[in-house]
Amino acid sequence: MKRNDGLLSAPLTINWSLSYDCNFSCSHCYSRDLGDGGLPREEIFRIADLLAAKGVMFVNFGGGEPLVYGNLFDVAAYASGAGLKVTMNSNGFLLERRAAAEIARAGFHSVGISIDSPVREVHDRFRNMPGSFDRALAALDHLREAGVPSTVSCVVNRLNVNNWDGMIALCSDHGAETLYLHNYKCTGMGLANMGGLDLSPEEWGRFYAGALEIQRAVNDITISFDDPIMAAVPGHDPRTAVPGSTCGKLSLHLKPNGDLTPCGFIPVVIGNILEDELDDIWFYSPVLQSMRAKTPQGKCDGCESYKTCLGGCTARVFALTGTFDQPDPHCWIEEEDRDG
Amino acid sequence: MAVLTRAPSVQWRVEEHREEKALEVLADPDRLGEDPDVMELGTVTILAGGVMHQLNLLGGRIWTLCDGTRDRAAVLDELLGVFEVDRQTLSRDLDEFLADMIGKGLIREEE
Ligand code: SF4
Repeated sequence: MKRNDGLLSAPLTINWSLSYDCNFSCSHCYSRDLGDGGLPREEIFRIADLLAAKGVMFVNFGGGEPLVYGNLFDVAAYASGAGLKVTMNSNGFLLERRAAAEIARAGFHSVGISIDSPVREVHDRFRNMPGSFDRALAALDHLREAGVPSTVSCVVNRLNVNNWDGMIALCSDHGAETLYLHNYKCTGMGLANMGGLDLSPEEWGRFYAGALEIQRAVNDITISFDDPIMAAVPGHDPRTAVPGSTCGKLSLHLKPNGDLTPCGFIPVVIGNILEDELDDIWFYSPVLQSMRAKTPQGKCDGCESYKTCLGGCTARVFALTGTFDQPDPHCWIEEEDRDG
Repeated sequence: MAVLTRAPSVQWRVEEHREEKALEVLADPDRLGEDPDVMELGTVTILAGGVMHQLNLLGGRIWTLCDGTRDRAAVLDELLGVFEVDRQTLSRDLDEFLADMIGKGLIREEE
């Protein structure tokens, strides 16, 4: 099989779930029912060495809640000592002053805190955890005090679509540098609850058009998106590093047992980092190859945004259609309008 | 001596597979037909301020040589050992590349 020389030599980022254990049960969680066992410390250290040797630049701990995982600081310190830039996504509930100091000591590059609404009650309901909003804000304050850069991650959904911009002031007030607006993924609990939480394609179109205007007007924090279908917003030049989804092109997901998947939202195992050569998986996995070489189907065929969008978010397409190539179900472009 | 240094906040790496391929073609230009785009592939990836930049073989070589120990003349000498191009042309390419990178704040030239 021919190696794809157009690909980067290795993933830039590994999204690493050290464990799926969590202190929350959020309405959109993709990992609620995944119970893969973890690895011994030595194996985890071996993985960190291997990733560093392959030139992986970033390791982002997720899960599960990373702060529930007992050896997080050890692993993070080891990984950053090996030359990896270490980050994590946390719900912030356990991130008290002492944890923030440990995070700083372990060499974390930055920490993302999940906040899904500027309204306390709405966030707490979405996260199914009373008090979680206040603890998330306190986590940002503790990180700032400890000198650790922070960001805020927000999953766009029906409960926050009309007032998400209230999060901008919240980020400024609590020292978060970037607000990441994530598209709603229909995996795990996200699939089970999509009826009440996901937006319609037209609503996604309106949301992105409005959010881009706000992004242009805001200077003190960065507003960042991760949805390839934004290419379809008129006049928008996404200037992304790669066309379409980044998973399988810039990043991979590592499960607690060492299995690799293209991303956390695509539960297809493509190999095991301790048993298989990372190069073999990265360059030759048939699953990755088909994700990277999509064929436009349906309304994507002939769409002028296809070059940049590549049919949208591969994880969402896969979750809802079982294939990689179908048009993103969130896409608001109508074939008739386009052709007319 | 004004030495060239990469901005310290920038994350970067050499794309080894691509560099290897580009060097093979540089040594044996007949192989360019196998993959006409190979000389434009990014052999160095830079991440700065949330933006990803890719440098081709020449840019990537210059980037790696800007390690705080060389000035322009020393970088040029090293490049002449890799690229079979006359000194004047290579010097112009180097100046253009550095102007761009210094303008973006990715490389510094300091006494
Ligand atoms: S029709 Fe397909 S390619 Fe065009 S914007 Fe929609 S998902 Fe993207």
